[in-house]
Amino acid sequence: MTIRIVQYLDLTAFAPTAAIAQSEGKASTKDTVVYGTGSAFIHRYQNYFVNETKTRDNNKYGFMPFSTTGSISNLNGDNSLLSITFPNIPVAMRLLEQGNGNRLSRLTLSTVWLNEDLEETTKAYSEYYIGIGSTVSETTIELRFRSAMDSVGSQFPSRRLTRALVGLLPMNADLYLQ
Amino acid sequence: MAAFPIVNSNGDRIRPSARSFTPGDYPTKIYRSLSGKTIRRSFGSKPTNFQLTLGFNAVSESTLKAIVDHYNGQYGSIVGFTMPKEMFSGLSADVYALFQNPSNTDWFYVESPQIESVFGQYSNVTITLVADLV
Repeated sequence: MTIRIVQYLDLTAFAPTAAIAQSEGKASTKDTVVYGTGSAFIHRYQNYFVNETKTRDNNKYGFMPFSTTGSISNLNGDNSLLSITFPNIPVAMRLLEQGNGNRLSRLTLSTVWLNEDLEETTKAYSEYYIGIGSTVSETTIELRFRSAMDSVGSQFPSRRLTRALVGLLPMNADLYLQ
Repeated sequence: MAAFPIVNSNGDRIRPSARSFTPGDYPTKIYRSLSGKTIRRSFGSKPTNFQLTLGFNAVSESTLKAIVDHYNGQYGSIVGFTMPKEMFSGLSADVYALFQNPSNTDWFYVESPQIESVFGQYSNVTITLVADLV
């Protein structure tokens, strides 16, 4: 039995400002990197068809030799972790910088099974993640993601500390709801 | 990208006297269960890791220098290059087309040229190359 899988990566990176995004846009010449609206960039890559650009859902996906590890599931089904490893090449570094170190990015990862003729079958599924950071080494760039879904628990929705609730954060632990 | 030299500084031809070639393989991982059932996972659509070893017997210092200069010009195993068809002389065009420059690949040095002095200024030189997807 042989398994042939292509993964389509659809990463929307949000630059800190629209001006930075437009500046970066001039450096992004690949047709699989699309300038979205505002400060958004959309990078589309696939990891099976070497040096080929594939079209899926009217979008072009260039070849990028990335690999994925994860995700870790738990009983609640929330906070699945995923990491994607890229070679440390300029286009991957740009992808990282446009997403502010992968802290401002959104990922759709589609996994598609192929038949013996390397054609797509109907077996496919998509996962959705948000960026939570990255690790850079001399040869690789690892982007870390977690699922955007939060499970329903005893506190729903989960309480989060925001400046809207407590104003400027103090240096000590004295927080007062406003 | 500088192709492998076919002449030395004196204009003498550089041709291998020995050649071995291993076709590339497809990136695959095999899961082998305790029952013996195997599952193969394919990771790419094109072959890679072609291997080529060329031996140059009793070559002059000029040829030796041309080969070593080319190795240094590629910064060792860093910069890829193409192989001229002269390195595959003796094979028909149909066959050497498979070996010469496999599609989507460049040739890279695996290691520095191996040099063995045999007599006076003459040496045996062996180079080991790999063609990887680029």
